[in-house]
Amino acid sequence: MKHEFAISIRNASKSFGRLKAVDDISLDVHHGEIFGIIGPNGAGKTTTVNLITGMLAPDNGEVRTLDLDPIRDERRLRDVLGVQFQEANLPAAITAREALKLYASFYRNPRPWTGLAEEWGIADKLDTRFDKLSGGQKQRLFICLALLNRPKLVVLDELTTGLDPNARRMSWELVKRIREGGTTVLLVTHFMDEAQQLCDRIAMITGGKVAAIGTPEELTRASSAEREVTFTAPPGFDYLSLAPYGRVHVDGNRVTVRGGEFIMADVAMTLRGQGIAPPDLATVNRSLDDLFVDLTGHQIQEVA
Amino acid sequence: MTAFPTLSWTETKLLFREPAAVFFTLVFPFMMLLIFGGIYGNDPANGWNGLGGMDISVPGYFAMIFGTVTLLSIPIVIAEYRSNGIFRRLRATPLHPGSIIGAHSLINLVLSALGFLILFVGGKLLFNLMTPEKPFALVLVLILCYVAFAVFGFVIGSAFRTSRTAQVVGNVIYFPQLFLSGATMPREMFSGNLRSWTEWMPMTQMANVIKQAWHGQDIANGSIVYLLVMTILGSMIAVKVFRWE
Repeated sequence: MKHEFAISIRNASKSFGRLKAVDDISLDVHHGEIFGIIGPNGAGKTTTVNLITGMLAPDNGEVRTLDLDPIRDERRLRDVLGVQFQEANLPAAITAREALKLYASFYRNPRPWTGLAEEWGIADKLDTRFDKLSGGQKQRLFICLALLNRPKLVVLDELTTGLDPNARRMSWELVKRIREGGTTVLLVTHFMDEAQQLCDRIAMITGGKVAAIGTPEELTRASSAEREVTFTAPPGFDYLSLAPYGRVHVDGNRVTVRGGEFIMADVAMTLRGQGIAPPDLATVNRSLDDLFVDLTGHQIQEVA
Repeated sequence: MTAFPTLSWTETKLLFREPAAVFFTLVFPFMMLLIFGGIYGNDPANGWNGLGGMDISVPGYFAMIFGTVTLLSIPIVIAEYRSNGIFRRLRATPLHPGSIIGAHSLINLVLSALGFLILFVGGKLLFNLMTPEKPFALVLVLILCYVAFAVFGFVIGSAFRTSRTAQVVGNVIYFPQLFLSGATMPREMFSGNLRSWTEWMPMTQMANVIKQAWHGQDIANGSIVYLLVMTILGSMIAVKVFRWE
């Protein structure tokens, strides 16, 4: 039987003492998509991942991962699931080669690890100890380990935390490549740009609850009916001519007009009427960051 | 499945990259043999009860080796693997959790056996060390001692948050016993009070039964019961306190 969802969570909760780490979460992840879970530290992302991967049992509700009960069918799930955990590690003195050989021995039909190492660019680091690998090389080794069992679903928890911007962008390409191989990807991150770039759909989690769920476009569109137009005004520009259409904000010669869905057309017509054509006339897309602030009142991004 | 042999072999290689553990199991006991054998020799005439100095000391060094691997090596590895997330990564694979405990138990036993072999062959060649009188009983006694102490190693490794704390606790339990149990210094030298106070320490019991089997004496039933109780109690605590994360 072909199951409908790669992951399906129904009203799942998990508390630690008084702390409700996950509070009545429901979400579905389709096969073959890159699904993002985003939220600030302490939002319940890792607990959600632990529920999905069978590291924790929910107090209430149902979790199905690849049509298995992650707790009851734990062994079977381990066979078909790939994980890269945030707080997981390898012994300092183990070499990349030894780690790949060791983890390959855990599975019945592993992918040849030599091919994986080549594909992910660590073939020349096989005899390097784990603690002598760079952050990016460690991440790529962890991805290789996560892919050894030809998983149907890969969970990547804070894949790019601690990487420099260049390495982050490289990891994004790698994640896209995993999906091209037909594997569903669950990407957990606190970087909004990462989620926006990579994910087909996103669940925003805050305070243990799903605050919003959808494609990046849906989320940014749904967040506000208000749109925004900006341009650089020529000297002597009559700001009041725009006042009938929306709220005008002037900062030096930089003009921002906020209004309804026709604000762009109204501003463009008005400028046309005055014979002004600012080269930088543009609508501002609301970002996921803006949405997050709207939903939670908090800024998500930490100082990288 | 080749998981268990691969895991054991990988952990063995990692163990040998940690020079301290190997030194205190393989090299240090042999140095003791050379130094004290050099000082006291192994002439029964200078010894006690018809046994030479090394005939008395080497069974104690066996207890020292077991003490080192179970109270120093195992707790550090277990605590480190848990606190660093190495267990967390392993747990996400189909590997049976028991395999990890099994592999660490096995390789430390094999390492100890290697230490025993070096001591025995060295002692035989250099000091004409006596051959164990009851070899079969000695093997059984050694296995019992190892299991009784190894479960406590897992308890120490599991009960404390960091490998640093586990290491300190292991040291505090190990070093007084190293000197007071007869593993290194003959308890025959102790005053009456000190002797009776230290009689019921775990390592004294271990050193005693190894000596008894080696020297062909009757093995004290009380000591066997003591070690069995340690094993059962230790296993029950270990199951309670063991955590993957």
